[in-house]
Amino acid sequence: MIFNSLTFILFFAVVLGVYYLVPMSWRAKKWFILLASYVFYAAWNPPFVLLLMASTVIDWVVANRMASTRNHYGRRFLLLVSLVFNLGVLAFFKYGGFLLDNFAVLMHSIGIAYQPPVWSIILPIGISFYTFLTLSYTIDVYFKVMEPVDSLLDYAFFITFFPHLVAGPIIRAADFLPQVTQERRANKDQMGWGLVLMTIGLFEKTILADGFLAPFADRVYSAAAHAGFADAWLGTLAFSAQIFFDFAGYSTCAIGAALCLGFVLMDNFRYPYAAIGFSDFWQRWHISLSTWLRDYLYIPLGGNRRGAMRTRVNLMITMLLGGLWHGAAWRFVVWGGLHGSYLVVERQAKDRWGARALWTGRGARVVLALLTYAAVCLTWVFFRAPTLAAARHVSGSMLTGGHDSHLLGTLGRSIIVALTAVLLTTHWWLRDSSIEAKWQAMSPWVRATALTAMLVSLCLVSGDARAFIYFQF
Amino acid sequence: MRSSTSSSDDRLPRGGWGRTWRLTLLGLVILLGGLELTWRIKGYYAQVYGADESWILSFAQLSHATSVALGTSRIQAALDPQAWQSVMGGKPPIDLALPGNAPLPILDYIADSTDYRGTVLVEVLPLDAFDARQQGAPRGRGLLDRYDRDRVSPASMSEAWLQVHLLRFFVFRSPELLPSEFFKRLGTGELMPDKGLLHLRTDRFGPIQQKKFIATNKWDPQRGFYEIGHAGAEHEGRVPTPEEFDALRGRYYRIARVIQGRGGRVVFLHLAGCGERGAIEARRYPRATFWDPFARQSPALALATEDFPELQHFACYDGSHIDATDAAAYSRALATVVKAQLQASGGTR
Repeated sequence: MIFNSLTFILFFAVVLGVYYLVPMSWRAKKWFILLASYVFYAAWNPPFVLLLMASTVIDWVVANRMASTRNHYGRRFLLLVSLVFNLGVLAFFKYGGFLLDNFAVLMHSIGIAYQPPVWSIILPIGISFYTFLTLSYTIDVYFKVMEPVDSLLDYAFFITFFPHLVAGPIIRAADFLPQVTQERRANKDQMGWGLVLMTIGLFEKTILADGFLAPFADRVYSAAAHAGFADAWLGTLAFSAQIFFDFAGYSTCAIGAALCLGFVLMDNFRYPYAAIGFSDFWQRWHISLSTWLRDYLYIPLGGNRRGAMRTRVNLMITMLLGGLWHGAAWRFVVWGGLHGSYLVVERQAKDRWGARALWTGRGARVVLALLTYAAVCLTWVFFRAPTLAAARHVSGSMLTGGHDSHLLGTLGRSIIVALTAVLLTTHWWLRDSSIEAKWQAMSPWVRATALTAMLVSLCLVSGDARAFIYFQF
Repeated sequence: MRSSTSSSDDRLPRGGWGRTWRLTLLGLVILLGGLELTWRIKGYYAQVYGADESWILSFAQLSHATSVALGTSRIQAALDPQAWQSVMGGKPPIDLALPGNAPLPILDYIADSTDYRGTVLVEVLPLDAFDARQQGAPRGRGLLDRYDRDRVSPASMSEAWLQVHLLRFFVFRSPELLPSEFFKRLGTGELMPDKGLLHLRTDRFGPIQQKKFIATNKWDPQRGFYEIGHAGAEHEGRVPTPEEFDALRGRYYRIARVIQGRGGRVVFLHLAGCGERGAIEARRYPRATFWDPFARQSPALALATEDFPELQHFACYDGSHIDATDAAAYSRALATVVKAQLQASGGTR
């Protein structure tokens, strides 16, 4: 089920109604939300709910056994069981075809003609997200960062809670499980703001990402080989805005839906296109993933504690694997590699010139933010292009120019430029503030006008709901 | 390990929610209600024309259906499902026809990817069915791809149902009236969409209120509506070469045999056009060259409505479609003919 659908609106209304109006114990409410979450997941493709259940039960059992095992090797073995199961399932469903194709290429390069079987396995929706949730839990229990949860119901609730289930935010057990122990009821502020967040999120996704931007990005990238300088840049600007509105829209909806039920999820985006530098970008973009990678990959690899060279290697490994997490294709690895390179270069630059006052002026900060945005846009090419060859062509056109084939009309170009300008300005305006603070400063009339405009436009879009981009990951 | 980001709970905006949401709902009702009223006053009506979801939902009923209709808007307007059922028995037919569309991809799918054993009523409009380019085929294939994708997902099917039922009640949700379509029409000189003649219901059959249009269009019993133009009939598609025609009808025959082989029945129907449009169709696809040889060698029953006097006395308005007031009587007459012919064939075709 996707948030931008009538089915979800109906589902959510029923869930809210039962949750608040039917007198039930907290335990019964948790069972109800758990059941609703399974329905939410199964509505996409019912059999895969069994995989989700299996993953939940196995990690809960493993973590509890781990806590009761004093033997170090026993604990390590149990951690290995969790890692092999979770990563094995992920590898099978997500990377099976990719591995087979690359194995065939490898064999071919040494003269062996190997024809891999056709890999037509459906990728279970949200598998990358809930796998990271369960992994972080068993790793935390292994390192005794937290005690395992006794109740399978509470643990299943944490993994399956429908607002975050299929595309995050990738919440942490230590953040979320304490919320499950006591009855949650949204107060008026939570309910009011939760509904506002859902409206904003749906508007970002449905109107801005799907309605205005996706058609332009699709037009350029479906004819990538013909994209000249202007088309390549404009198509990529359209995609950079599209993916922000798409994914931030989803996260905003998820946070809003959880808030309506009285639960607080972590922020996932904080005006990333106003980032000054790439480490700043990753503290603002897909925060739940970047902090996960930092805590469970970068720091265990040694982080920045083992010298400059090792830090660079750790950064590259983290970002390459982060890229691969997004999709089973070399394009995503290149995308991660570019971000890793940016972070390495930035770290060196900061070591050498970071202390200079030149960078702290307002003008310089704007310039640096725009440079960061432009560099991030270059990476999006590899994220969006259908093939590596197409990505090479588009990025080549962006960097070196090329004959312009006018894939986008004047109206299209104007819309992209205007929306990009609005997006960047808004991010800069909110960079050191928050949307909550701005909302608080508005009168009810202004708030109502904004909400009405968003809701009316949502009622006037076609019913062909596009899935969220991150669902494919 | 806790995440390092703060929760959004400690900085929530406070107060004023009741007023904000009341004003919002009021604004929403006024704006959408006003829009709905405006469209209705302008003569638009709620219907499912152009909604792929209605086709997906109809196709999903195939396994329980006793008869199914394929073809173009001509059969959608002509068949009254209840009238048809009253003669033929079984359940009302389901409608998988698509305006201006070639039925071959859908027939292929029914023959090869389902075990459907009921009656398949195939309207063969030569302009589309025998078009050498099969210009209408991609739409059918696209819908079948979507059906294959959606049928495994309860969420997709329920979404289709909800979308169709919104269309049923609200004019402002009509695909042609959405702002995105207005953007597409910018610069074409025709900003406002055609009100259309076909009023598709949720079962996708749709009566056409043609008599209403007589007041505003020139009409006579021989020519039908004249001056409405028949550019589509005149220019669309390409007449096949004899070899191409043989290949095309070979595909229809194969499909008929497959369905008959598992106990189903196929009826090819030629619903003749009339007036000026009928003359164009007859000129481009002469009956003696196309329909007659097709019907002669067909392994399934093949009927041309113009061969049956009981189907001749219905007025011809736009040259293509039966009027809403005639649909029930026409359907009963057609069903009686089809039933008699099927009985006469003794189950051999």
